[in-house]
Amino acid sequence: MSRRNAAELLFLSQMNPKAISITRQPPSPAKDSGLSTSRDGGPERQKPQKSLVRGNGAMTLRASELSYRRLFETAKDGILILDADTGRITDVNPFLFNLLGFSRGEMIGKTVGELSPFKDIESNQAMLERLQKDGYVRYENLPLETRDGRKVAVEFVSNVYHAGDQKVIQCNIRDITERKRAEIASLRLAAIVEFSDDAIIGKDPNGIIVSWNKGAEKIFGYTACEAVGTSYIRMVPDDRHDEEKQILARIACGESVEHFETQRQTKDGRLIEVSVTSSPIKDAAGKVIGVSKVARDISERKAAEEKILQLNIELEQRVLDRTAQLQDAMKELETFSYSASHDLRAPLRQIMGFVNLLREDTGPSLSEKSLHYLATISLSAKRMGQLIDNLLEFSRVGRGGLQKADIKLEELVRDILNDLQAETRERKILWNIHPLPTVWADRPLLRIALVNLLSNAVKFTGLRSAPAIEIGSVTNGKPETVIFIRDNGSGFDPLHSDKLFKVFQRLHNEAEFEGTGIGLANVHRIIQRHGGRTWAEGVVDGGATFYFSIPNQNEGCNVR
Amino acid sequence: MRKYHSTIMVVDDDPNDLILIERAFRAIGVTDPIHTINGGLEAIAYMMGEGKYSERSLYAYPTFITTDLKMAGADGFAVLEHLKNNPEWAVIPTVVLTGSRDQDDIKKSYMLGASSYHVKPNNPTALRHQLKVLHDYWVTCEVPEVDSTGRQLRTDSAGKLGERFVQA
Repeated sequence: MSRRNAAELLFLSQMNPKAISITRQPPSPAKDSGLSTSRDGGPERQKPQKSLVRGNGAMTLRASELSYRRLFETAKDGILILDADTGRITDVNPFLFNLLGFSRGEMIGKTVGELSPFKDIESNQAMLERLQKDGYVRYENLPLETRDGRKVAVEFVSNVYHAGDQKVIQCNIRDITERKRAEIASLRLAAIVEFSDDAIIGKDPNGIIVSWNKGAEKIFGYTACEAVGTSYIRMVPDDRHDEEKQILARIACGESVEHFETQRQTKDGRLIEVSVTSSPIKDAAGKVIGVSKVARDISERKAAEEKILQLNIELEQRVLDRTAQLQDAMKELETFSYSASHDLRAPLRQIMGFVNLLREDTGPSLSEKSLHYLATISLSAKRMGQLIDNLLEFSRVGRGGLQKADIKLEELVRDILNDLQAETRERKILWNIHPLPTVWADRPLLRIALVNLLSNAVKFTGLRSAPAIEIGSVTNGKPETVIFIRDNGSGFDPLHSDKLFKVFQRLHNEAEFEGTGIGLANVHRIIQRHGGRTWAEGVVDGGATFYFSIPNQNEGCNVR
Repeated sequence: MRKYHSTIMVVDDDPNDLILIERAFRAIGVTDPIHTINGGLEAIAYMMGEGKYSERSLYAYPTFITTDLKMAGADGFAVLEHLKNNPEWAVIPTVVLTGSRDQDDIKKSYMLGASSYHVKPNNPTALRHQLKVLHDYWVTCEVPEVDSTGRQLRTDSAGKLGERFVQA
């Protein structure tokens, strides 16, 4: 049999010009007649004519045919062979009939127009005519429909060949679905890049711009035409060239530089605040082949930050101003109280001075009654002097900062008792001082508070034949220390305990126990400034217990 | 060494305090002449010898001064400053006797050359005690010798340590 399978001829013609020259020699065989299909759809292999082989062994040609056949069978492109005269399919490779969901047998002998996958193609006849005329038809993107209705985008190329005296159409069909998908994805990415508000710039490793999006145009003012092909360095202010070099050096090592905040120069010479992320673009081997830069205009953010900073500074200044005003006011108050004390004390001192002179000069001639009056004037003046002193102290303990430290309470109490000796020496007071803790407090203020409480205890046990005073601490589960001072003195009516710590409130009359009514108010104010509380328990003639609490270190807040 | 010509000057703008202080000095047995001067301006006029104070046989230079601080016109600081600016007067023991306990007042007084600073005691007895201590102390202190008008006697300081002190 000299007849050759058309497909074989086709491959031979494409791949082996020598083979073509050989095939032209035999007379044209009857079309199709020798073509039969085996059960698996493959054409029955024909033995080439030995006479056709010139200078080569028959086995060589046979081997060549086999290898081309194998290419046909395993190609990853679809291949369709048609008889150019009839337009009928003479062969189809497995890739194509598998792609379309047909078997080889279903396709062989049909015209393209008879097969559903090709229904969108121009009429068979028209294609054939074009092929006859041009010898070539190409569809770049032809949708084919598979048997189960899927659309497959293909690139379709038809050529007419003369394989011997046989005119053959070969259609190469390439599935371009993936390529189309990649193209769409790429277009989508390109659109995202193009229309991003951020400048997205591609550079080659030498800093020459290769891509320039709309964002870059907007931010830097150069159009893509103006920018591409030029050096990026012209967007970098002169004093920042080193900075850009360092970035490029890091990129060259394959590192990214993210959100680097700097300044760049626009086409019209403005300096703008930008945040730039520079990353290397690497090839498959990991070699740096370019740089991508994403620059965001952060001028507005910077301006806002600047504004916030400015506002903070203004606020700070206002706080300082107010504080200064407050300090001035306090200073003024201080000056006022000192001069008030000076001015108030002078007349009192003089009253006492002149009463004294009067008593000396005319005392012997005065009646008992008159002398008593003089004594009363003197005493009143003295009391008023004490009142002024106490008030001054009261205003003093309310001012100034607290200088807190660890105060050994027991030591402080013993120190105070030592000072009180003048008053207590003559009396047999039973002191019961329990172990006392260390407290976190301002020593001078705490001392004033304790002096007041202890003097009170001494004073109000004055009528007792066996006065007893107890000082101790209790724990209450809270982060604070509670101190108590208990006496067996004259006590107080618990109904009035709320008045105890108020300034000028007295629960005893002057004749019984002298005092100005400021001492406990001072205690209250001092403890309150430490963030603690004061309270008292007592019954008339049943003694009194005064309590105060001092928060532990880091627990209390300072109350001014 | 007891000074032979001692004169006490009491400066205060409160006539009542002037009376009380003078009486207190007398009560503790001071017999030296005491000039009670009403206010700082008057005190400066006294030292400068203005008006009636030009008669030094009546108004001798003081050998001991007490001054109040808060006074109208010229206050105690002005008096201290005035005294300090004259080398002869700068040596006169001058104590501040005032109602003010203000720390700045105390500091400033010493800086301006006050010999000591005392708060007027409220109690008349305490005032007498205070003045007695001051007077007894200062009259035992050596001071430059003065004539009957309180003017310092000229000294020949050639070759002595004090030579370096050139009098005005």
